[in-house]
Amino acid sequence: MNRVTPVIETAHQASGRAIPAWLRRFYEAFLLRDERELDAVLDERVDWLLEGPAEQFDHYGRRHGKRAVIELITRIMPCYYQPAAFSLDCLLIQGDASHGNVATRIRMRARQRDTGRALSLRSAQFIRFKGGLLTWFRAVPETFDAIEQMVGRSIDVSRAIETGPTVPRDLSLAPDGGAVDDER
Amino acid sequence: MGEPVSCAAVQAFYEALASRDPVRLAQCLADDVEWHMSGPVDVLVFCGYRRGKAAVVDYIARLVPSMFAVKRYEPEEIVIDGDTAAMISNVTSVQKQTGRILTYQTAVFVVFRDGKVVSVKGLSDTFDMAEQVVGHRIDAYREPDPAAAKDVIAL
Repeated sequence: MNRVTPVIETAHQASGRAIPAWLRRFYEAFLLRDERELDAVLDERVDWLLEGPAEQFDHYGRRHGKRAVIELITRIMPCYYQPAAFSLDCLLIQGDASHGNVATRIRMRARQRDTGRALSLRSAQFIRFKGGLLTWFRAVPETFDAIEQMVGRSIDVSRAIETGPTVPRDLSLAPDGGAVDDER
Repeated sequence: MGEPVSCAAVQAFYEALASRDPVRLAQCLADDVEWHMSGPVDVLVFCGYRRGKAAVVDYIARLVPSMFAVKRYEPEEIVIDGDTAAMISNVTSVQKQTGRILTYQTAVFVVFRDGKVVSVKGLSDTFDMAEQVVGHRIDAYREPDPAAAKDVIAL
């Protein structure tokens, strides 16, 4: 678990509103990767979706259930970066922890694990709380910018992922176990 | 925060947005409206910053429809608090040049003043959008090729 004090700031439009304790608790548990706190904040059947190319960066994508989300935050995400701070540009709240919807436009500052580079990752987050627990999470990150920061250079969109046989042609086997005829 | 925005004003704006009708849109926008969609403008030309009612109406009612026919604009979640509304939507469009169908999620934060829109800030999964626009999966990890001899110019 990360022992660094979490930093959660509000700015601009969000400055007029204090972050309620029940929301702050989630963000702090996220930044600290505190399994016990995450266990207390997340609903058993939480539905989590971080939009993005999950086939290339597996912290993106959908997770179902508390265990999967805790694993994502505490073990998978830190393989890419260590989150250090959240800055909320905009914070909208309808209701409260017992039955509430939250929308935030947020910037997460993080340190890339492999390179030590500072990352600044923007996203929109929509969160539902019910009975004091986080039940639903949708994040729409600006993924093109995030991935350019993570790979450390501009992305050339003409670079297609090479698709095709994953087994070299000379190792392919015919159904009878023999070598595949190249002319087939 | 300014005066709270009504659900009716939010609804009217999203309906005008979905309709792409310049007259309806103009009625919803303040003269000094600012519109910012985050993303790589060299790949996704509908990203970037626009300012003023005329520029924003032109963007929504002419520029975007010239490239994409929006077939579905379905809100998944709307949160309204004070003068601001946020919405996450599932969008389906047809790219006119290729006929390809694009599906993506977009999130917008809209600030109202006196019932009119003064600011729109949008975020999308732009890597996914770029893949759909160019028509293939983009290899984020692949290093660029070293410059070929034919690409080098001596001055």
